[in-house]
Amino acid sequence: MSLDDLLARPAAWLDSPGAHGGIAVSSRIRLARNLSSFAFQRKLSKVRQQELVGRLMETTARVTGWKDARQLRLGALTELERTALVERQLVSRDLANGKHPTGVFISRDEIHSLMFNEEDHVRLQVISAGLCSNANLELAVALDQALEGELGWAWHAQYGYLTACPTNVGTGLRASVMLHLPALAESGELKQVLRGLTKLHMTVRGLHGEGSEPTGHYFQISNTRALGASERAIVDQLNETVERLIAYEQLARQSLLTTQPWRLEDKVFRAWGMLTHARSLTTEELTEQLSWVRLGVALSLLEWRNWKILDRIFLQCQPAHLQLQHAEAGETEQRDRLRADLVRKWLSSPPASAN
Amino acid sequence: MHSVTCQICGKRPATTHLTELDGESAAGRQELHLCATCIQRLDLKLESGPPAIATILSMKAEDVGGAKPLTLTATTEDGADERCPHCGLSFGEFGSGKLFGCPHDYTAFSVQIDLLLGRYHGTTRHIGRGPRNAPAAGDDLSSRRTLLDNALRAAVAGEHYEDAARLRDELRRLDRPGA
Repeated sequence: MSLDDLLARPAAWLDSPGAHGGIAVSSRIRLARNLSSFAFQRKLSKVRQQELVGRLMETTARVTGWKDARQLRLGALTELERTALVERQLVSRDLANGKHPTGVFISRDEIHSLMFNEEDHVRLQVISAGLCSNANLELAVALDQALEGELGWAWHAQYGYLTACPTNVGTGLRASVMLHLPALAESGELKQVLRGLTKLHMTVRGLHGEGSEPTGHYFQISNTRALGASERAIVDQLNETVERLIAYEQLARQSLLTTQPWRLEDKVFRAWGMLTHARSLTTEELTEQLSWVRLGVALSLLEWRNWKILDRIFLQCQPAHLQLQHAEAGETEQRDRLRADLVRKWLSSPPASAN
Repeated sequence: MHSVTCQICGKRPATTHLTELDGESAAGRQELHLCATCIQRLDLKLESGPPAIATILSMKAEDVGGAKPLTLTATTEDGADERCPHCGLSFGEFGSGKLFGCPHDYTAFSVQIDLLLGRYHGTTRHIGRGPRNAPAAGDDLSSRRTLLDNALRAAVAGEHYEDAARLRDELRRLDRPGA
């Protein structure tokens, strides 16, 4: 099955400005679940892994009844296609790079995505734009309950839901919010603020979750403790933490605007200049400069303001998205030139189409 | 090599050893060691072709569901040799990959797991949702006490005093639920 129609669409989690003037980009809930009748991956034969993935695919399709959902076995996809799914945040890097039988079930709107035979048998994800962890948790729980009746999750009266790694045991929940914090990062206070998160049992990751470095001033804040607090309490604490970080970012923006407006304007207009004139752009350059343009739009420093175009550039100019949709984007050099061409073209769209 | 203990009762020495091959890989190999008493108790007719290991183990679950976990007395060091009767993972192997082999490991290594979870999560008990028909967490207070008690002793023996203090506090909370 071709991924063409999927790739051309906007992503569920990217609908800028999101919440709080573009600061809260997206929210994600992940539940880790395992079947009591199968061993975890490291002790499961390939044959049983195939059986597991087949059973999970079949059951999820039947229980949800979502006719237009997409079911993919990752082994049947090319490496580029798997990478594109990572770029859309529908699967983890581990699942994309895994050599064992795996699968993914994606709802048409890409809000629900279930990874099969990742570190745990099932990783159920609900992701959407803005600040909506509470609603996402409800969606995740509803689907979890429906599946639980059919599949029988591994459960222990004391430890809760059992997972392959003991760091996920209990609720199996990881709740995260992606924040765009350019002013806080620029002010130099971010490191200290983020260090304080450890005490609150929170951690920071980059755009693509585990193992990814923060780029483009995007930071994913999530809980580290899955045991000893209810799902609701974990999400409440995340919300509280995130709201505080948003307030810090707003303060940092105001502070930059009042004390050193020229410095902020210089960053924003240099970025605008580069994106509207460059003839070659690497992914890193684009991510970095797009971040400042995003801030410029949020603070109305730029006359041009079209969030949808910013999202489109962000999503569609990632390496695998480019290569799968443009025959000429095979080599890095060609890709960087194509990326610059597309960015110039899209940014020259009339401001009248602003939302 | 020391003699193998029966994996059903966890007490008597095993006299019968079953091996089952599943699939083409070594990971699919499963062993089960049984004593004569348990064979009789579960009414296993081994001479007329033994039932699948999984079947015997599920009989075991119903039969001795409330029994003490098999490796309760193992300390972390000794525990490296203990294996989960279901997936064959040893606690030492877990340590290298930080991933368990099957859900039963949580019962097989409960002492070590209590220490591990206490250290990482600051607690050893789940609060929150569960399967709709599952017994609520903490339903069985007496076995919970045994678990904590054993974990506390292991912590003191291993000189993990911070863990021990936390376990002691949990035991106290158990005595005074309102506190």
